[in-house]
Parts: sequence; C-alpha cells; structure tokens
Amino acid sequence: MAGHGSQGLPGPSTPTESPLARVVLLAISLGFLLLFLGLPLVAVFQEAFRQGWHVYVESFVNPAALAAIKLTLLTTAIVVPINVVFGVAAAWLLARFSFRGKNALLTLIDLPFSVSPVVAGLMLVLLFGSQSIFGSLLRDAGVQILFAVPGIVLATLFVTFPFVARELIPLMQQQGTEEEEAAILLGASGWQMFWRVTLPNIRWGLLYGVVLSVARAMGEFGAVSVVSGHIRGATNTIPLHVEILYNEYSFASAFAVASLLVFVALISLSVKTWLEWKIARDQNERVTLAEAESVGHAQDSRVQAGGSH
Amino acid sequence: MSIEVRHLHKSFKDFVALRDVSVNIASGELVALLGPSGSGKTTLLRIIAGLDTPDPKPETVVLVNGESVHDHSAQQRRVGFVFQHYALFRHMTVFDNIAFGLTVRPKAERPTKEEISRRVTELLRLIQLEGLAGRFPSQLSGGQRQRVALARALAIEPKVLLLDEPFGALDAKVRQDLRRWLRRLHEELHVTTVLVTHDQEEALEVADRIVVMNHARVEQFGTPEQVFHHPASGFVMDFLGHVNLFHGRVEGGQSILDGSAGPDSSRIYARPFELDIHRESGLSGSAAASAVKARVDRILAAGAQAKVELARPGDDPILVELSHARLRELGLSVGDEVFVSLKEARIFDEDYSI
Repeated sequence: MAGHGSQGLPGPSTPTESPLARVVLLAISLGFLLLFLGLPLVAVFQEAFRQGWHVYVESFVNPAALAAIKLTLLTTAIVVPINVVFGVAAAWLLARFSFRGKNALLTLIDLPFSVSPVVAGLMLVLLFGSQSIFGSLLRDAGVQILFAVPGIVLATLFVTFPFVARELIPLMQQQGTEEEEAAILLGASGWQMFWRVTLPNIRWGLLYGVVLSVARAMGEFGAVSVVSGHIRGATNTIPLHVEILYNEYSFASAFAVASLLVFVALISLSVKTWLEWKIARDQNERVTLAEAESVGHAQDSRVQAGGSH
Repeated sequence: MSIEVRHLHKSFKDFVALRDVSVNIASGELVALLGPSGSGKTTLLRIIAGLDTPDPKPETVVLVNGESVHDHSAQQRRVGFVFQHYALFRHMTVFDNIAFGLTVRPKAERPTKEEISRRVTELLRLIQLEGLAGRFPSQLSGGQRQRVALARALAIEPKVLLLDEPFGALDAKVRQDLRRWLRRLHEELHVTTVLVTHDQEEALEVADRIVVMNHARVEQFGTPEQVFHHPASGFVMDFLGHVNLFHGRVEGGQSILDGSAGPDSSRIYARPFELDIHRESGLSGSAAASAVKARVDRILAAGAQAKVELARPGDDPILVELSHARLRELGLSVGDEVFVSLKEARIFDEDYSI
C-alpha cells in the first residue's frame, strides 16, 4: 500500500543525486551481490561437475545420499503441515482477539528467530537426553527421540514454526473481520466461513509462509546437527550429508548434493517473488478500487436517472 | 417484522456504549439511528444483529417480531446486514456474492442451482446491475458495490434489514442518488429497516422515524418532522441543523435577549431561518428588547436562501438565513451594524452546551 501511495510523489531517485553517484552505488551493490552470492553459486556447480556427469549423478544414487534425501523430504512433509495448522490458528487468535498476554505470545512465536539453532538443538538434548527425567521415562517406554527421526522433526519444527504465523498475522489484521461477520450473518457456519471466506483471503500469504517454511526445513543445519547423531543412512539429512562428504574430502560429491539445496533455494526464491507480486497486486487492487469510485460516479448517476423500473 | 429492545446496557471495559436504551420499531418501518460517532448507534445495531451481546441484566430484552432472540446466534437470526465498507467477498464474483447466503444453507433447505440462479438474476435486476454478474467487487464503483452488498443481504429474505452507515464511504452525489433509491426500494419491499447514520440530512430524508442518540442514550425518538421542529433537547436541536444560541430571560411569553447569564437566565435556541435582521432597533418597546446588536461579517448570496454571518461582541457568531428579496430590501454590506431579532425560538432548561 505504501508503495502504491508513493507513486505520485517524486521518488528518491530524482534530481538530487548526480548520475555518477547512481552508477557508483549500482556498481557497489551489483559487485557485492556478484562476489558474495553469484560466485559461490557458480563455484558450487563448478565443483560439483569437476569430475564429470558420472560422479555428479553417482553422488545422488548411492544409498546414503538417497536416505538423506528421503529423511529430508519426510521431515519437511511432517513439519510443514504442522506449521500450517499452528500458524493459521495462532494468526487467527492474535489477529482476531485481544487478551491478556497477547504481546508475550507474539514474542514467544518470534523466539526461534532470535535463538541460535545450535542452542535450540541443545535444548532438546537437555529435555530428552538420558540424564533428564523426561528422557529416561521415554527411554523406559521404548521411545527414542534423540539421534532418531523424532528429534530431527522436533528440531526442524522449532526453527521453522514462526514463518507461517508471522506471515499471516499482519495480513489478517489488515483485512479485518467484516467479511467474516458478513458470512456468519448470511447464515454460514464457522467452518463454512473459514473455508469459503477466510482461507481464500489469506491463501497467497499462507503459501508464502509455506515456501519459506519448506526452504528452511530442508536447509536447516545447526539444530538438526545437534540432535541427529549423524548416523549415515539413518539420521542424516541433506545438509548433514553434505558436511560429512566434505569432511571426508569427497568434494565433488559434497558439492553435487549441495547443488540440490541450491535448486531448492532457487525454486523457492522464484515462487516467493511470484507470490510477493501476487500479494502486492491484490492489495493494490483494493487501493485502486477506492480511487476508482470517483470514476464510477458518472455511471452511478446514469443508472439512477434511468432506473425507476 | 417488529424490533423491540428494552433496557439495553452495553459497556466495553471502561467505555459505556449504551445506557438503558429502549426502542420500539414497528413492522415495515424504516428507522434511522442518528447521532455523533461514539453515541452508541452502531453498537445498538450490532446487538440487534447478534454480532455483539448486551451486558447481562435481567431487565434487558431484545425482541424480533415479538420473540426473544437472546438465544439465537448471529448465524441463526436471519438479518440482512450491510456494512459501511461493503464487506463483499473479494475473491467471489458479484453472482457468487449474492448467492452466498443461499449456498451455505444445509442441503435440505438449500434451493436448487436453477432456483438460486433465478433469485440472483432477480436481485441483480432490482439493484440495476444485470450485466455485471461476472464482475469481481474490485471491478465495481463504490455505489455499485454497496448495491451488491444490499442484494446479498436481501437474498436470504431477511426478517429485518440493518444498514451500518451504508453510504458513509461514498461521496455526496452518489450518496444522494442511493438514498432516494433505498427509499424507493423500501416502499417496494417493506422490510423493517434500521439505518445507522451520522448525517442528519440523510436521516431526515429517508427515515419514517428517527432515533437521535447521544452519549449512549436515546435523546429523542420521533418522525423527522417531530425531531426537527419539536426537538426534545438542545442537543437534538443542534444536531439536526445549525442553531444560534442566545442568553436572556423569558418574561410573559417574550424572550428578552439581554445577554444575562445569571441563575434565572435562559438559553434560547433559534435556527438561522427563524431570525430576522433590521437596520434599526426602532421598534416598539418589547420587540426592541428581543433584538441583539451585531455586525455583518460575511454575506453568502449563493443558494436558495441568502446566508448572513454576523459577529457580536463577546459571544459566538450568529448565522441568519434570509430570502434574497429581504436581503435586497435591507441592502446590507459587510461591516454594517444591525439588529437581529427572533421570529421563533426554543428554550431548553437543561444545561447543554454547544
């Protein structure tokens, strides 16, 4: 909305700066991007293909790599739906109701953003480790959390859970409750309102949160590394597998597997950009509407004049 | 169907929105809830709709068609509600918006597809937007959107129609057209309608009766003629149009505008068209006492009536409306010292300050 509103105003790029300053600024930004983002990307692929196509493909089809890919996909498939449900519920609660402790809850949701992932992993070790009461109880019951899939899922869940909620809270606050109230007054049940009015209105924001969640869930290293135990073929995710290969000096394979994560990043980046464009367009539409009203007036009065049916 | 509320109280934390409000609306009536913002009118509407609940008090009653709706949720009340900002479902077409209330009904009560389509087409004709069924709300003007919102509310054949400042977001011209259109529509359908507005002109023009609200209370409930010509309080008089305030005394049916502000002084209210201007105070004794000296500040000659703004020492300016003939006869110009006299006035005992 802010972007739209500033359209008519002179932008910051007008007269005050000299063309030279603009060129220099552009060169600095582009140079920085190239050096720190472009070159590493090229390097990843260069290293991956250093020993040819054969090694590149071989890096994926060996059982350890396949197991890592499978575990990463499994973790993502469990974590993202949980995040969606939790995110929508939390956003609804925070956007629609006011209650005591609301700000505390908001801060809690942000906690994973501010805590180092390694610390998050250590928290899980403390909670479920064999020294803790909780951990020994679970072990007696035959449930393994640490150094197993549940631990990896929990760690990933912790680091990704703010994404969906954070995306939806401002969106839902901005949209307000009137459409939902209108649905209820027209006789819709709570579920009908959610599926037919609330969800369609937040769908792009939700998808945006999901994309961020997926990217992070697949790429998370720190927290997962602490709880995984690095058991090859069992508790290794893609990032952990890359690290092991690298430490074993299998550089070509390490970079080949890493290129997989690069693809994930590139895809989510494109989807993210597309979604941002979509969301901005939806919002602009709403603003343009308000402005279009004055245009519609002539038409309105015509209808009035001709319409005493 | 009739609407009756008795002894309604509503407060939000420290803010009292409604204080012992009772209103009785007859079947088929169009009633306007008129008042400044914060006077409680929207809260009253939302309570009737079931969107808000009144403070639990044993004497509180909300009846629709003589039946208590206390245990009915907003979903069950079947009221047509129109929001100030339309609240159309933005991802649905005009057709789907209007059909919504029919398509969410449980299977057993839901009309067939053809029946729904027939009803929507009928409503589109009623709001004069036949060709626009496939448009999205974003492709409509404000006035068109508000008519779609009205059609959507009417689609469920509501028992009562509640409009929350329906024309508030539109500009003057569209507002006037829609206002007249709404009145015609009401005469056609005769659905009991409650309209919230802060625009006195709108209320006076559209409504059968007006509830004037202020500070969470009902100040007056009457026909437009009653509230305009026989206001129950200084507030009502002030809210329904410009009013001039004089201080003085009342003696033997005559108001003496001596500017006294003592304990037995009165506040005398007069509308701009209830005043006259004289060149001299050369009138008989009692008439002279009921005239106030003032200086012409501005003359606005455009419009059906000429408006003259006058300044008086140590008090608010006076606004007088005169016929153009009278203005010519007086030959006023800015700076002239003249006398303002009352043709008619009202005195309210309570201490209401404008």
